Amino acid sequence: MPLPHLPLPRQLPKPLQKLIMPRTRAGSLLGRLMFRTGVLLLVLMLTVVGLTAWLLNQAGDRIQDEFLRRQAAELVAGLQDIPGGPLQMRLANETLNAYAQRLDGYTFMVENAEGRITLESVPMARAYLAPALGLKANRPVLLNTVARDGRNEAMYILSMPVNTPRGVYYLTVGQNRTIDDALLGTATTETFYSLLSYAVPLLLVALLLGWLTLRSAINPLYRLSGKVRALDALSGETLALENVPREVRPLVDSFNTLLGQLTRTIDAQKGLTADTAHQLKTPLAVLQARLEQLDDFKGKELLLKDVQRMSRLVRQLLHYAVLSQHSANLAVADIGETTRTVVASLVPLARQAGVNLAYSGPSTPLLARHDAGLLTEAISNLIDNAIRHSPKKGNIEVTLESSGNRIELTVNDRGPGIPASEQALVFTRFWQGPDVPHEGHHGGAGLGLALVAEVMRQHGGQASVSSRAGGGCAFKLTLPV
Amino acid sequence: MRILVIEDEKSLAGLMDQTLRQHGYAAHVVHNLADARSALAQPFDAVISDRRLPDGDGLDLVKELRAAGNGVPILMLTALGLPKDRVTGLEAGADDYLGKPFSLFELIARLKALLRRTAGAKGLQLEAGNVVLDTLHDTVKIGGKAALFGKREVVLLRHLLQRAGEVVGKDVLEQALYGNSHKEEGADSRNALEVAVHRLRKLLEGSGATLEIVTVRGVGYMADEIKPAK
Repeated sequence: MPLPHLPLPRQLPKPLQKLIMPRTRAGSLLGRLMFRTGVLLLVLMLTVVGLTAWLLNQAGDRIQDEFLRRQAAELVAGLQDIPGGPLQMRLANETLNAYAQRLDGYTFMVENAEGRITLESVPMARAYLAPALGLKANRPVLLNTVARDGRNEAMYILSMPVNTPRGVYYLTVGQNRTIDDALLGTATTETFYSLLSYAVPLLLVALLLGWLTLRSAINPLYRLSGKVRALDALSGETLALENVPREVRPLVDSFNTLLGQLTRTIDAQKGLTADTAHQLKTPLAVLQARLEQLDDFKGKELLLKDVQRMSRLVRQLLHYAVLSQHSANLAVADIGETTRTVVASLVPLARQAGVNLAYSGPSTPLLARHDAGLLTEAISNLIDNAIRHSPKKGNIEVTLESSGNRIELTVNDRGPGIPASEQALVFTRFWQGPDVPHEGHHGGAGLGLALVAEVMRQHGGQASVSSRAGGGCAFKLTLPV
Repeated sequence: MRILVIEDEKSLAGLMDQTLRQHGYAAHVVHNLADARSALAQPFDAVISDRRLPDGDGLDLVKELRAAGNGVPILMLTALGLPKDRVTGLEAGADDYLGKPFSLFELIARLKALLRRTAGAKGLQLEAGNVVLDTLHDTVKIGGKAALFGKREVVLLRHLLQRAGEVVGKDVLEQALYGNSHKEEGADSRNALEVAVHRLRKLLEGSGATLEIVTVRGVGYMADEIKPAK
């Protein structure tokens, strides 16, 4: 049973799940970063705006409370407790007036310890200060009547104990929400909305800057992937750690480790191929020698041909494995000399097959960077091929030409030719011509032309084949000068 | 002729021994370098050696022999048949290099060519088909009868016979016939070589030689036995 990815409950609403759960498909890293940064910025901004509005509101309330406290302090100072007489309130005239007229809703009352009202700013002031009636608060208490009376009738109320020699009294002072208060509320609201109206463009600008920043932060990844693309798995090179961000280094390290394993595996594979081919050579030599020592019998020639064909395959397999393991040892030398030597060495084989082999090239040395050993291998494969496919008395012409910045070496034969549809395939491994006869007269091993292509690749050149007018084909090797 | 064969694969060594004896050579077979070193206290006419031997590389023996001034013809015989191995082998002082697997007929042919070359250098007889050239006296016999050849034709024939069955480059032949001077003469000398070859052909044909001079256009010439048609 597969383990669940995350312990998220199923009942989470779908959009929320989408938001929190990592999607199984990677999607765009930049997109995801942008989305999350955007959400984060939005939440942050809304929080700041909301907090500011709330703080403004609080400030308004605190001003009101502070005002009430001062009012209460003034009233406490004005309480006159004359022994034997009633409790009195002595205040400045205008203050008394203000209370008497309930200017701005100013109201107070004093209760004694028994809960009886001993002083009121106006008759029935208690109606305004109802929440404090009989409260007997032993420390200053703020009461607010917004909930009960609606916003415009709401009162700020402060009730506190006052100690006199006669005993404890309870002073309650109250004030209606004033115009100022309403104005302050409006200002708060307006500030909230204008903050919001700044927040939206700010958010957009932040997102744009964020996108630019993130994109440039991701750039090293693009550069890295460019470098990876340029890597040649066979060359044994690895990714350099320079200019790689610290966070990506573990990835590059792991990649290099993997690359090392890959290279070692490929090398081991080629080594195995080379060793196997090498080990096969001696038993094949013994087999061939034994066959040659036998008296003539029916089928001996064919058996010998089979052994020779197998030997050629093994030899080419070895050469191919070794060749793809090492790179060419290029040096400037006369390519005409190299070609003539190959042609000369194959003349006996051509004569045995009754084929005429000729060469034509410039009379002066033609200098080109090449690996004489490898090029010899490639050219002899082509000529060997041509000999095996030529009819008796057929002509094979090897030509060498220099045209511009290229050198063209062509092997022309008058064999059966290769159909145009097959011409692109001949340089692939183990390609067999469409006309392979049963008895293996042509007996190609299928690796010769792949070897030619590999040699050309290592020379920075290329191998191609085309049909000749009048029959046969032309194998052309093109080399840069 | 005494031939030393150094080959650790016993079945192959046995087959080579048998073939060499059939072709009239006295083969002495050893399977490692130590035995080869003690055997080489005696003179041999040629050495055929493998490279990968149980106690070392056959190429080291070649270097030792050459360092000691021993010029015995050496044919390296090896499964390391890559072009660059061939070059390494020849640079170490081997005279020829044959990659495994090989045909016993080719082995004999290479050995013959090797002996012929060294024999020619020593001033002995060169032979191909029914043509025999005494390199000491520069005389030619065809089918046992003395034939009268000009000096140029003998020089040409000697170079072709030393590598009978192989193509000898035009530049090598021109160098042999005319020395370095031919380079300045240009087209004339190339023509001169063709004329000399033409004359040599006429002489051979006129004397009933079973040897022909094959033209390999663009490369050079090759002396090849004319085999009777089956």
